[in-house]
Amino acid sequence: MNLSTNPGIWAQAICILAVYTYLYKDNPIWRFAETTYLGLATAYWFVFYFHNYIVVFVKDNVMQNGEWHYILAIILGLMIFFRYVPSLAWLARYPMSFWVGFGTGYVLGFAPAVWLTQVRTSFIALNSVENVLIVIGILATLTYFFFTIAKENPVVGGIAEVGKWYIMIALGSAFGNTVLYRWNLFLSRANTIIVDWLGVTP
Amino acid sequence: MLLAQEAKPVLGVLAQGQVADFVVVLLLGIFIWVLISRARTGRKIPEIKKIAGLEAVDEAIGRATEMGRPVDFIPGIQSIDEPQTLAALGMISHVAKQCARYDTRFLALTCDPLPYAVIEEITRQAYLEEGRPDAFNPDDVRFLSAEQFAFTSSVIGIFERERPAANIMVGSFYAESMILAETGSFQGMIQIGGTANTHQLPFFVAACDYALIGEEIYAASAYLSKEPVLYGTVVGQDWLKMLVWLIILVGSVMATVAPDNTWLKDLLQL
Amino acid sequence: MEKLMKIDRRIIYIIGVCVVVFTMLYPIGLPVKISDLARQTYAAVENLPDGSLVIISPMYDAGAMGELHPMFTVFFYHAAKRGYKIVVVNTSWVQGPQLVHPIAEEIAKEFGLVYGEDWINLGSKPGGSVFLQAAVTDLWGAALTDYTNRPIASFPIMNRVPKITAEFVNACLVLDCGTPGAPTWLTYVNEPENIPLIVGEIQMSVPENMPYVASGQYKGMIAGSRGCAEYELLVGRPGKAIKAQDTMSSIALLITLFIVLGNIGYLTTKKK
Repeated sequence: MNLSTNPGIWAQAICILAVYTYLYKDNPIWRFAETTYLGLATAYWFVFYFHNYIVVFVKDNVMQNGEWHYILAIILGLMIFFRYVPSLAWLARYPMSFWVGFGTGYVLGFAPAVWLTQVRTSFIALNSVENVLIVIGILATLTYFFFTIAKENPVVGGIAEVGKWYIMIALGSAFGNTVLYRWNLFLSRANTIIVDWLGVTP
Repeated sequence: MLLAQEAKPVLGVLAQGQVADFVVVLLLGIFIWVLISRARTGRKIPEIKKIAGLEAVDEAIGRATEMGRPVDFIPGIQSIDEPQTLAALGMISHVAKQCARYDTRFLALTCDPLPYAVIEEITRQAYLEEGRPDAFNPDDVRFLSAEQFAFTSSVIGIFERERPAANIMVGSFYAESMILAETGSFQGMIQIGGTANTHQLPFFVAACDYALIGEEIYAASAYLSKEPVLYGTVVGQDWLKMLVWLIILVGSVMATVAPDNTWLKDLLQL
Repeated sequence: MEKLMKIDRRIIYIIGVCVVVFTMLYPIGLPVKISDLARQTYAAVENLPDGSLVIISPMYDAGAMGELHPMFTVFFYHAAKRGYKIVVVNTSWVQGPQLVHPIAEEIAKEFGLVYGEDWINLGSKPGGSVFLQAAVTDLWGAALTDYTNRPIASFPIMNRVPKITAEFVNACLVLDCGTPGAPTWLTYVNEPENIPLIVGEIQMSVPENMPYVASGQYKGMIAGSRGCAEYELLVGRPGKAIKAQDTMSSIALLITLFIVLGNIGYLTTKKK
């Protein structure tokens, strides 16, 4: 055992242990870790946004490169603060509307190419059990998500039921993978505590 | 995106390889536009069937009312341009109205400043529509942190301190889903979880009392709000799904009986 | 039997912790069989033309580094070993490029790669999909500076890559743990520009991303810690992932046992 002398490793180890105390029950050590983390994250994001957005756009783009059109976007963004002035709160809706509209249009411009490729590659020959199961799975799962056809209809209901089973199997697989992922995260934290902090060599 | 720069444009404006994309978006747009117009003018459009577990929302609010404890709503951790967040906004209005009606405290906990601002507006409006503007407390709509796990740990803190009786989580969730759902479950909350992020769904299915699977969250939002725009959109998407269903069936049959005939594949690649 | 359904979670945690610590300190060295997917992924990187330029994008932060750091290591190592030029850049996940920089420096030193000539770290750029789309038309304008805030014009490697198109970039290797992630790259860069996309996925996201491998939209995928261990063997650099496999196998067994016990309890109680 060779205890670390690195203050960064000590800070990491103490924070990890403080957070893990929650697994026993809610306690002051956990609350301290929670509030410290929240405060740190808030400060970190403030500094990050300041340097990566405000400095870049105002100093570099506008003042240095003379790209004055950015000012329009900045004004639009700042309009969100009108929500704190009750009589002018309606003005805050414009940047929001712009952002939702832009986001939707942007996604619609690019997303169809990706899923149309998926549709195309679903055209598989029904010449093996595996392929038949894949096509049944795709069609039955799609049927499960038809919201305007009553599932009381025996044909639609039957296909949707098959779809539900496919979904449940997929969820089971996802569950298994996620649980393993979480344990892998724990393994890397355990490595920090045992190897990096306590200096125990496997 | 649709304006070709180098490749020879189709019909003068559409870039090669993007004609099928454009047609699909156009088709979806027409479906939705027709259905929204019909819904707005009170004409008949296909009805969205009841989704199992949706009544649970009212049941959860009822239980919180009986216990005199708050209802909390978490609209995922993504911003306002995420469709799942928009679906959550549709549900929030319903939940906030029910809470206002029964005088139950309503907490909305957000991880992004844009949904936070919108949710505050929606909640205020919901209380106003229920004739209880005075009962609306802006401090109950909270922006906690934009950092995923800082947000998660503060939600857990709120669960511990303010003890909501019902926890509704609908939106785009990631690694925090299991932590939140497990904490809620141990505190005996009635929980409703819904997300289209398939890797997180198993945790909602396992730890929540009711789970909305994938696209059900969009339908749930339309079903609860009865808002013509949402309703028409969900029905329009349903039609497109049916069309895709048919195309995949025809494509697979063709790949089996006439593998050399690739016109359908080529059409989707235009 | 009801007790099986009500095992105190703290007991499960303690048993799990014991298994993790024990297998970590006393590894058994269980064999790792290399899957077809790992071979496909390895081949996708290995068979790029000599002198290729690849982008490695660590789209993650500290929360996912347990699984994705070893994947970044093998991708960077493999690319360096093949003599490819490497550009490290990501968007939105601010910590990613900072976290991977020491790993990249260490491997670069091993192969004698010169920063700015053979590889560069452009850091994390804000904007998500908007940045990616801008980088497709003008990477210089979208990125502006490298990781240390020096203008990218001062680095010779950047003359080779004015924009992220198939003409200048031979493949994108994206390490993914959420949104924006590999599907974002696929939607805004790789599908429209027809650039091969090879990904590293955390175990959790493997099922969700498998359809992209089946459709050929991802040319390869490192599937979680296990996939990374296989890749480490293929590339000849055993690292953290291979060491983790004893623990992961033992934990998988333990969780299966708990699920079986819980279900026995559930089914017995249900019958009553």
